Amino acid sequence: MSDPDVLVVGAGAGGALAAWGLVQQGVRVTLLETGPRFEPARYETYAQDFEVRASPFARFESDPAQRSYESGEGEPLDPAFAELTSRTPTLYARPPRPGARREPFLWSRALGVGGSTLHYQAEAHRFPAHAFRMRTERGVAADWPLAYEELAPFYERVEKLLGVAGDARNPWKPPRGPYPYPAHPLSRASRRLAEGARKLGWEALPNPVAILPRAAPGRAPCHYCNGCVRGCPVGAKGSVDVAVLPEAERTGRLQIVTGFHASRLEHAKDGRITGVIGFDAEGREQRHRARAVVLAAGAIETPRILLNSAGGAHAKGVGNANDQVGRHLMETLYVLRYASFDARLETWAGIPLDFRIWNGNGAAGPGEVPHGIVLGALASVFEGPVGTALEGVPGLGRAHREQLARRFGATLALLGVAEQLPRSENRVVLGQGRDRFGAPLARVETRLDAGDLAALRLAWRRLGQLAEAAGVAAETGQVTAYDQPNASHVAGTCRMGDDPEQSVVDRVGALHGRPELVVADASVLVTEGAGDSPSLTLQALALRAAEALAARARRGEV
Amino acid sequence: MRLGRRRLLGSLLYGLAALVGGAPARWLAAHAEPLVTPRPLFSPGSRRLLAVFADAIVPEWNGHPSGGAGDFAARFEALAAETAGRSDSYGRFFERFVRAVDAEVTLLPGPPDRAALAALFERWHREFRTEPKPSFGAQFFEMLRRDVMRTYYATPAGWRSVDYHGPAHRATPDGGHHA
Repeated sequence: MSDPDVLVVGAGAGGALAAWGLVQQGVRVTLLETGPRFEPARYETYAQDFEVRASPFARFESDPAQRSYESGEGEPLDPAFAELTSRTPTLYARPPRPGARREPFLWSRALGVGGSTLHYQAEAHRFPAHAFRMRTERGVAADWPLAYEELAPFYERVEKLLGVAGDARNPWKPPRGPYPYPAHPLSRASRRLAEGARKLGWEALPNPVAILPRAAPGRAPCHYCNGCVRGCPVGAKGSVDVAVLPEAERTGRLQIVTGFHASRLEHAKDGRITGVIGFDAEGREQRHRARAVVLAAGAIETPRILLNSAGGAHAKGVGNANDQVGRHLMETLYVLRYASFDARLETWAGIPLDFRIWNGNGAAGPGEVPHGIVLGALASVFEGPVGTALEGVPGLGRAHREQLARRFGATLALLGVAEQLPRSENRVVLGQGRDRFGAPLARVETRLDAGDLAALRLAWRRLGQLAEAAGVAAETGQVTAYDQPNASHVAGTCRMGDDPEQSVVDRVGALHGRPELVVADASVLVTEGAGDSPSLTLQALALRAAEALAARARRGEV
Repeated sequence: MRLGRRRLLGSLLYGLAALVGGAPARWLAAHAEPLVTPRPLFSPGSRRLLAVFADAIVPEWNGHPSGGAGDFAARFEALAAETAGRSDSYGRFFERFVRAVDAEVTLLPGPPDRAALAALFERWHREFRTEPKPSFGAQFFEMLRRDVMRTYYATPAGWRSVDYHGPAHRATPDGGHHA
């Protein structure tokens, strides 16, 4: 088979949209993916002991052979924010150690065709308009090189492709037309929390999600099993392996290669990017060549590949002449407060994240922060009775059983997500360790600053207000990014911008000075979208980047 | 040597039944061993219970056949004492465990669910055949608690106890069920 026109590295949220966008333009694409291809029909969501089984994605991800990054012990915890300390309700919870430090950074991802959309909860947020103008409107971070209005048409197309259900009436977002599908009804627990929000003058609005409320070709409607994180066995969730790639494959212009670990870029003497060098599952080195390459391996792997490609015309790494690759890492600032109601609310059913409270996204008032904050609830935090028995209720024996009977179906996690502002010193570099192929691991260097902690504290306090207003009977524990950096949303390490000295890629995702190399994942985000989930935005950007690349190719610029 | 599931199950249930039912003195005397460490961590009652569990869960230890429960207990206690700074809390936990275990016994499901329990015992068997680590003592009970609950609440018997219908046949966001 002849070389494709374009290689796309990573079959996740961004890579799939880039591949889809390219093949629609008549471009021949090979999509390279480290992980396997999963069969949704084989997901074990309905197994009697599903809670005890590791998800298929976790099984693959936890394989030590897949290790690709390292991170040292975190910074010392600031005791002034001790109320944010994580504690679980189980018998084995231990008080924080004196002089405790933040846990090592943990990247929560999924490897495979579908990437992290395999385990995501399908939130499909358009960033608010101010998120693109944080420097101008809030005096912090940086402005994007494009405005919301430029991205809106791409948002709309991606929403249609994924099958997003939502309610267009949201005063915290720019005006828009109707979603492809109407919003899902709120679960019983969410309605209870919405009542609490109303008492506080807040509004719990339906969360837009890429989850079908009614059938579409090849996809069944959601049956509210709450198990999105384990993969959707009926295709209701718009993970890209289900909602995007099959259509792209039907064009005959997309080839998907699994089990290929991209390690570095091949480049010519003049610096032109000519291909991707990596290893197959047996550890044999392989090269794929094409006229252009799209990197979509995520905000840690993408900079690792760029930095690991140093040599020749790219002495400091591809795209790193100005030492910008890997900088401005943004992690996920989250707060989970476990809350039990005095009434059974069947918290194990429904859409896991079916509402959001955006009231923290206005301009910062007294006692507030310029960061965006969103609130909600994660009903699926304990899954079913096993999870609740182990993590939601302390103790043993009869007392445990009695408490479990009260709390099962009545317990959830109140969730707050605060935006982390980008800082140059939070970054991905090459570490000392090596992966199984001998390439340097990425080293994640990230710390919370006073602004991050203030944002976390504000989210924590607002969740406390929400708990009280909603009549939560007991709070039984909490986990927060203060000491547990479990980041599912990682972004910013190849930021987009007009100035090559302050950014890595241009406004359409192409490397400054190298139009044949495009980045199409969360690496390009300039800010984190006021606490919203980044997947829809990076997908819209990926589609936009793919079409720009195709246009450049047609003009002979690539 | 691997013991059969039937023996593992029978041994554990017998031991627990003995404990709950008043523990025949002769049986306990056969399993209780004198303290072998200068610093007693467990009460005699705790120690006997540990022996019961050891006999059921660790039928083979360090080359000893099933009768090596006492040897296991001694090693276990020594290891707990070595766990610097954690021995006291560990001992207190064990005492709480003893008080709670009678209620835990009632969690053991009936015959339809015993296959799952047998698999659980097999796992314990495998785990405890490995060399102990300094953190072994704390892990022992953490594992015990986790495994009992994971086994029980992943069965229809456990679901019934919390009025749960299982992971299938969910159809409405309110948790209503449609066949």
